[in-house]
Amino acid sequence: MKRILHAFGILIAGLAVGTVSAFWMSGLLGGKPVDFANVNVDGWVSDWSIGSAQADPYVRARVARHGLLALTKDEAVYFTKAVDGEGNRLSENCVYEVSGGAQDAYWWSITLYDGRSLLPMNTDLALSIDATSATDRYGDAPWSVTVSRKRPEGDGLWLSSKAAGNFDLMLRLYRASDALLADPAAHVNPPTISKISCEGASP
Amino acid sequence: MKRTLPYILIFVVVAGIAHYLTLSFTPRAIMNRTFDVMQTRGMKVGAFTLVLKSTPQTQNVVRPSPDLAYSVCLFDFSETPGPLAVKAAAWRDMGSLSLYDADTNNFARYRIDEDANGGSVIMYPPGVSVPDHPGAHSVAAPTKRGIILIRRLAPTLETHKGVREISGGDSCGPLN
Repeated sequence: MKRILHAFGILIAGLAVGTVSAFWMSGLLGGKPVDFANVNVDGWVSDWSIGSAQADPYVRARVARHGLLALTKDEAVYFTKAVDGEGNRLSENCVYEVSGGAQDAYWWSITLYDGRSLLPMNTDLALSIDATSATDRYGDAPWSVTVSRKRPEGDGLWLSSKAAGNFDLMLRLYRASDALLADPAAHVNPPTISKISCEGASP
Repeated sequence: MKRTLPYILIFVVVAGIAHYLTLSFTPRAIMNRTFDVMQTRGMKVGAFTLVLKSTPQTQNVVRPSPDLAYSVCLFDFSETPGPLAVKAAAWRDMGSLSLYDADTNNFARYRIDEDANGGSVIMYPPGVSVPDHPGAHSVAAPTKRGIILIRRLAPTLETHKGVREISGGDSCGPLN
């Protein structure tokens, strides 16, 4: 009887450990940031197998949770970054300046998502910036955008982090060039994320 | 040690199987839930629905792009067993037609702004031979259920309104 109880206990423990570890490693449990892995350009991470049948089971589960209905790389590639230039988690309590330039793709956009991979629940209508808005404001020159929970003064570009908590930014490159897909490190122009200030802290 | 070895083996084997099964079934479970949620929000099997512009208040899936207009058609060959004719109306800017199976794979995708036949697809149920259709792409779905998405670049309210005006030309129904 004791042996049967032992075996049953081990069985339950094995089931629990196997299930929880699968959820954790796929980013389905806890506050683990989205960290697609096989492409990394200055901390902007992606996985070229997203959306394809070649994706490994972890990528597939992670995409199902954090990026369901994603496109394959020939149509769009997705980069995420959840930390600033100093390696600290992006937080709505801080103000950031994100700067960048043109991309070797038909079109690009940067969108802010909260820790549940959703658009943050605010009504600011400042959810993303894109190639069109950057060109309208800066022409062919490098662009910059303020990320903060309050609209900054002036008429610069703004991404609202209101109600986002800890968040990440997703850079989408639509119809990236063959050269970029072959060698992202050489052809992606990774935006920089600089912390300007945080509430209750000195700049 | 001899006594504990069988227990360690049981633990490792059961944990490994549970890990594998969880990873294997999670995407399908999430896709099934998404399919059901979309139906409860008015999206239909066998017809395209233009989704409201993505905002925090209207988002239907994780990580929607607020810069794209999405039209959704759900397919379920257990409800409509014959082939499905899918058409996406032409759009003046970047647009694509993407087919997803129940395991989240994007098993086919076409550019509706560049490919002359990109806006026309005949989709067959899993496991049947697929004949050619002049003027359209032919493809077999790997699973009975799935989601068809049209994406059109529409970053402003005005361009989204433009998509609404042409989206009446989208169709997704049994092949006649």
